[in-house]
Amino acid sequence: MSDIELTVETTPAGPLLRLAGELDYISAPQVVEALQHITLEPAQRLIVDLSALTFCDSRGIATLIAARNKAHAADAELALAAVSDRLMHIMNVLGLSRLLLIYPTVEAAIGR
Amino acid sequence: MMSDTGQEREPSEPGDRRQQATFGELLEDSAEDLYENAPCGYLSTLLDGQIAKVNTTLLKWLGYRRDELVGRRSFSDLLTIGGRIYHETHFAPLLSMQGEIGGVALELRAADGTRLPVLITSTVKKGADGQPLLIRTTVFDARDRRAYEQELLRARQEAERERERLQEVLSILQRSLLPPSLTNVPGLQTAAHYHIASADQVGGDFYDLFPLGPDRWGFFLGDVSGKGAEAANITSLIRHTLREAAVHDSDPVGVLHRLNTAVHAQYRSHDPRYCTVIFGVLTRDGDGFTVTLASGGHPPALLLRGDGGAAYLHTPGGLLVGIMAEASFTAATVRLALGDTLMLYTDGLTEARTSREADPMSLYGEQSLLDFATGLAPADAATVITAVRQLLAGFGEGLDDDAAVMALSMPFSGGHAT
Repeated sequence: MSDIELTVETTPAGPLLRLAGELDYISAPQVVEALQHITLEPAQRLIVDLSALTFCDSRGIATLIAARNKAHAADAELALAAVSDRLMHIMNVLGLSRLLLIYPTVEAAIGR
Repeated sequence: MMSDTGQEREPSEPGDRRQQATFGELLEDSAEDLYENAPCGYLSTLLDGQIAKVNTTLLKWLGYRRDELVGRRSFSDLLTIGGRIYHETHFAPLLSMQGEIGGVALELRAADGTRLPVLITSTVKKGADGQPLLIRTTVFDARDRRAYEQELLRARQEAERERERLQEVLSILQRSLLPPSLTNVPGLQTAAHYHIASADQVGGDFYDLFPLGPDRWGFFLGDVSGKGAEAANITSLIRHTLREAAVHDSDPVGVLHRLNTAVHAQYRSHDPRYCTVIFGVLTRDGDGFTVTLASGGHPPALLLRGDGGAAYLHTPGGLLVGIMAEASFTAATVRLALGDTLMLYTDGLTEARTSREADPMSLYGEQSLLDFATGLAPADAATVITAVRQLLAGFGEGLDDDAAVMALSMPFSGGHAT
């Protein structure tokens, strides 16, 4: 069920974490661990590409919040790219869409 | 055996022969040694069970000298009482009928009284005339296997007991997190339903209604991230904090700020805990109630009008509670007049999979819920909850999360608590 593939790349704006598959209770710890290995410089942007994310539950959202907190702790920022309509709706209800930087594509998230 | 193979080979080099000789020494050139020191026990008994021959391996396992057994003891003397009965009633008759029997688990008694679990295979050796002469028995040490089986059995029994205990504790805990019945508010009809998705875990949904003063009541309904003991802990903290905060702060937004501070103090970055919640205050207002409510990341409440129709009470921008030290919440105010019903729910309801044929993964959603409420209105709290129960039952396996629903109404015919 909850298979997730993670890839980390480097962009001019900062590290890019691509998530493909399902982000839920089972797979979230993998993402949390991956986040620990990502180093962030002040003013950098951690971009999380969600274009290939097929599912995200409350634990998944908690993980994205953890990513945001990590970025802020390093004086950096978190940007989500390619958020699905469904996840966007949930983020609106949760009040998160105002709190997170959200871009339609990875390119837009890098571009600043 | 090895020499046979050698003979079958093509003419070989002298070096080859030397190598074969070495192999011969390394391999079993002595049938006697193989018999005595085999990795299993060998035992030959006469037809009456008397031990005629036994190998060193078995003697070592049992701690007997050869002369203590051969000619003096029978096979059944080596068995436990239970094993002896089994031997008499099953093993021996089957062996004499079939001429062989294998894979029988027995326990042997060693000289020091300890028990050795073994697997036994026996065959009857017959003479040239077909008459049985001897019984040959191979004995395999089954200590590892027995330990493994016992461990499995013990683990299974323990797991079953644990599960029963856990389910009992959980049902008690779940009850302790929900009010046994909602507080009676004169003139108001109240009803609630909690669908628990799993008997194995405490759910993360919660609700309550409680008095704040002569004409004021507080209520809330929410959903904690995660399940289980951790979620139950946070739920308990949330209930306590909301009830406490509501006494000191008449503004629902202020109450949520206090809750946010309390939940955020429990924040763990590796496993963030948070909740979504609607908190509201009911104030008697002539022949109706004024409802002021604030939402922290929770799906909007529904208002079913006494004159028909339904609408969401949007509280946009309220952040889910506990993820940020600084959060913002928004309030909404509505008047509950005769025939109106306020309905709060958790997303277990709107996120249920409807298993429509066209799209089996499609979720019920807020629009369907609005249509459902519009179709019901006007309806009092009891009617709404009954209809929601039926709706939830209709989801079948599509409902895999907890779902809590609470309804507050001003019925046409005067209120009563349910």
